[in-house]
Amino acid sequence: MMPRRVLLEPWLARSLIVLWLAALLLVLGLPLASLFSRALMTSRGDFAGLDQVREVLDTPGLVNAAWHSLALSVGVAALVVPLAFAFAWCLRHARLPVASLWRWLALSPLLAPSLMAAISLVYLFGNQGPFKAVMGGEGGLYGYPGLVIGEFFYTFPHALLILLTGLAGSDGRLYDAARAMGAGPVRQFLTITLPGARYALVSAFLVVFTLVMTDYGVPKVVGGSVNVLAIEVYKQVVGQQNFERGAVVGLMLLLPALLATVLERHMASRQQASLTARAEPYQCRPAPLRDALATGFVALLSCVLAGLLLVGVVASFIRYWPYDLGLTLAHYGFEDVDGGWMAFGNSLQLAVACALAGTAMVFLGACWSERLKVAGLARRALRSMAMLSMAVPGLVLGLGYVFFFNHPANPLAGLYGGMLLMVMCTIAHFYTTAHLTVTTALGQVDSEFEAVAASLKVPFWVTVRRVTLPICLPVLIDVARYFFVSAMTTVSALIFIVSPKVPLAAVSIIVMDDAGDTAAAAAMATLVVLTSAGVTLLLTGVEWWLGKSMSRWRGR
Amino acid sequence: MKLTDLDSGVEPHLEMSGLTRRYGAFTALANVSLTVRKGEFLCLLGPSGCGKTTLLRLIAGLDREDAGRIELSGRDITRTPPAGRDYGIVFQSYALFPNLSVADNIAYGLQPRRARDHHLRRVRELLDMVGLPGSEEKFPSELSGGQQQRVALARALATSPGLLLLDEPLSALDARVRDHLRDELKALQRRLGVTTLMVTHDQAEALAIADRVVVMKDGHIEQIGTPAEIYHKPVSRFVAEFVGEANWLNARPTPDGRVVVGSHTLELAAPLPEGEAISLFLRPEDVRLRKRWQAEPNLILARVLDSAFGGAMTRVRLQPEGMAGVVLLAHVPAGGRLITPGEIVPVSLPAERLLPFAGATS
Repeated sequence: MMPRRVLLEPWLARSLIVLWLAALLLVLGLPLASLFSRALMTSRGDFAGLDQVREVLDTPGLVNAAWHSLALSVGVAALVVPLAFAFAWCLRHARLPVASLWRWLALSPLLAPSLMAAISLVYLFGNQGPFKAVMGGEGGLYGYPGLVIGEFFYTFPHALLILLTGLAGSDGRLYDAARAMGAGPVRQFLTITLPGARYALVSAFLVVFTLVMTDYGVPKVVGGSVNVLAIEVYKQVVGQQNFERGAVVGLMLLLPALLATVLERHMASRQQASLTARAEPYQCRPAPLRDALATGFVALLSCVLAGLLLVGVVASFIRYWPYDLGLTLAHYGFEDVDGGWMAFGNSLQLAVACALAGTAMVFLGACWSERLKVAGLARRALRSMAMLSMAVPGLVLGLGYVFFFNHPANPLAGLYGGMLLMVMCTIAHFYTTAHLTVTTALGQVDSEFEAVAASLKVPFWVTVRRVTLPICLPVLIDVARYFFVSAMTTVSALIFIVSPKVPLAAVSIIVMDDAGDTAAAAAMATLVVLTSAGVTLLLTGVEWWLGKSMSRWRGR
Repeated sequence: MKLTDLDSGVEPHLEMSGLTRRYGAFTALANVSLTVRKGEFLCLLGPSGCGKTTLLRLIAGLDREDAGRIELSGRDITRTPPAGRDYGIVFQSYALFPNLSVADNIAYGLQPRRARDHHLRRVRELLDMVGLPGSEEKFPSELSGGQQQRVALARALATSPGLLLLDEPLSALDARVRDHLRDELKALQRRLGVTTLMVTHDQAEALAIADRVVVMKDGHIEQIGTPAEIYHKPVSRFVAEFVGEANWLNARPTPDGRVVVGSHTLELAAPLPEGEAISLFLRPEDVRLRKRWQAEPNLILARVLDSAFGGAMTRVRLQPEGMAGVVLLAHVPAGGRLITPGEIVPVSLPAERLLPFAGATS
């Protein structure tokens, strides 16, 4: 009769899919569900219906904050997306000297917590800043000017990444055909470049909008009297313990993001169908004027972005800004602050744990959902859960964790305030991007590998280990880097579940700044940036080395 | 009637009965029954969407049927997962593991997994067999398409399966390599005697390689037969059109069993179908040009429209007199007399080659 393993294999495949689905439900689905239930229940546990929603809408502070957030988000997105598009266009469609340097400089803010720029702004234009006159004197920075610049710095690289990918999809042969038919550069731009990047533009706008809408760091440092929703939610939940009101606001933040994501995925699926595998990369021809203008623009913007980062780094070494410009390491002692080096150590631990566990979980989850051919329904559910995380702003996820894991009836309540819960939360928060990266790589793996393996009576887990994993290794290093840097710099989800017992670096920056110790905040931010940069460099090196050792079988 | 013509005494290796597979509203496979004999080379032939690949995937266990039953060597494998069946498979994409060497690819399924020496011997044996000796240490990306396909074949045969499944294995290769590999594949299959099922949409390939051909259309089997039967005695207009080239003549039956085409009355060997309108089928090589007019049935005159050089034969387009608007294609063996456009030649339409089908040709 059949060997037992043959019957075991489909059963095991099914179990793994269900296990991964259950894990995602735990770290993402259930916290969200409890957010919903909290928003619609009174504090005594009765069904409140829409009464609480109405009550929130009647609270003047909240409504004001919502308007501020909305105006800020739309404004920043309207500013960031065109500039990021222009930047991406210059990189793809003009001949730039040291193009990759500009690219790295412009993406450098990704290595820092969102409020890094805000701290630099305080140094430059704040009440002690040498340039405060530019902002209209004392306190001029605080409020919209600081918010817009800070959020610009934070969101620009995110938009740039999306738009670079969007413009990379254009087929060089289309431009050759257009030129052959006599279309000028403007016509080529309007008929080929712009339509091709349409989806990326919308996607970038939505991402920037959501990031600004739910950012906590920048408003906390330079928001001044402009009250935004993220701060208001934090006050309601952590300050006043008014969970119900917080839940309603969380829901209000979640629904537009959810809608936007569904819209975006719908567009993405239509876009993919129009891309052919035989597309050739675009080769641009020299045009001196265009190239000079493009270089000037790109250099200026990259230098501003990297410069803001650098100001914070430099300031952290200055004894007493702006009165004593002598250099010192004193701010790195963190004597007067809670956490300090311990917070940094915790963040490092969190980042390493997320990089290892997150990458493993995402890779295996993607293998199960994309490559196994059993349990169709559960696989679809697993895929949807993996995509759901993108639709959930960090702030909302953090709220969900408060409601779910802080609930006295939850047997896992013991995790609350601990490192494990923060690792879970961070992996859940950044799951989708990692998942999409891995599924793209898996999509390029021949779809018949598992079928061949099955015909040879080799179980699927052997094929994952011997074939799929080695092929995907470079991508997995990318994913690990993404998880590490994200875990190192994120504030928005963790701010709700971090406890004084286990402080985190990025969160402690806010605490230090709040306590007026801007120099220590800058020092901690610098530590975070240097660590992220160091690990990025290290992993890029590993990737390069891997690429070299794999070059033989890759045939390049 | 069951569409099988199994000789008594030949052992059935693979038996399918009533296989049905639907994808939503689309029926990919409708109640298909088929028996494959032990050791034979069977080709599933048909246009895309005819269900041939679906059938192969059902046999491989890569897809689940909605109804029906599959037996392999007398064992019901309908619900058996792929690993519990006994077959090797080769895909059009080769599906070689790019990060493993040729030797590791071929040894992928060999048991026990730790027996390196045994593996090496077997790999060398297989590489010799497929004509790639000494390629053990190469990677797939260092091989040409034809060589990759040979490795894929060696890998599929490594575990000595009783059944070999080939999914368009030659389609991705260029014409010369394809013809060469086709002949080798056939010879190898003969030598090993492994029951082989190949899916292809290339009728020339199917006729050249198969012991029997199964022509499929819209999820059901149109005809099963030897290549000669399929070619010369197509049972339906679809098979006649799909396999090889054909001439079609609109005709009307007469009471005495003959047919009228234009102003000619032709004799037929086959019985006529019912109906007032019929079409006559004739292969181009059966249109015979005569040197001079002679007394024979079904001899007509035709004007040469043009002729094209085709190597072993010349393709001649003819306009028969008394058949307005009809153009006949004839394949004339090379080495005959010169044919010039405009000349009028006697043409014989052999009665035993004219096959009648019901209905007019549009």
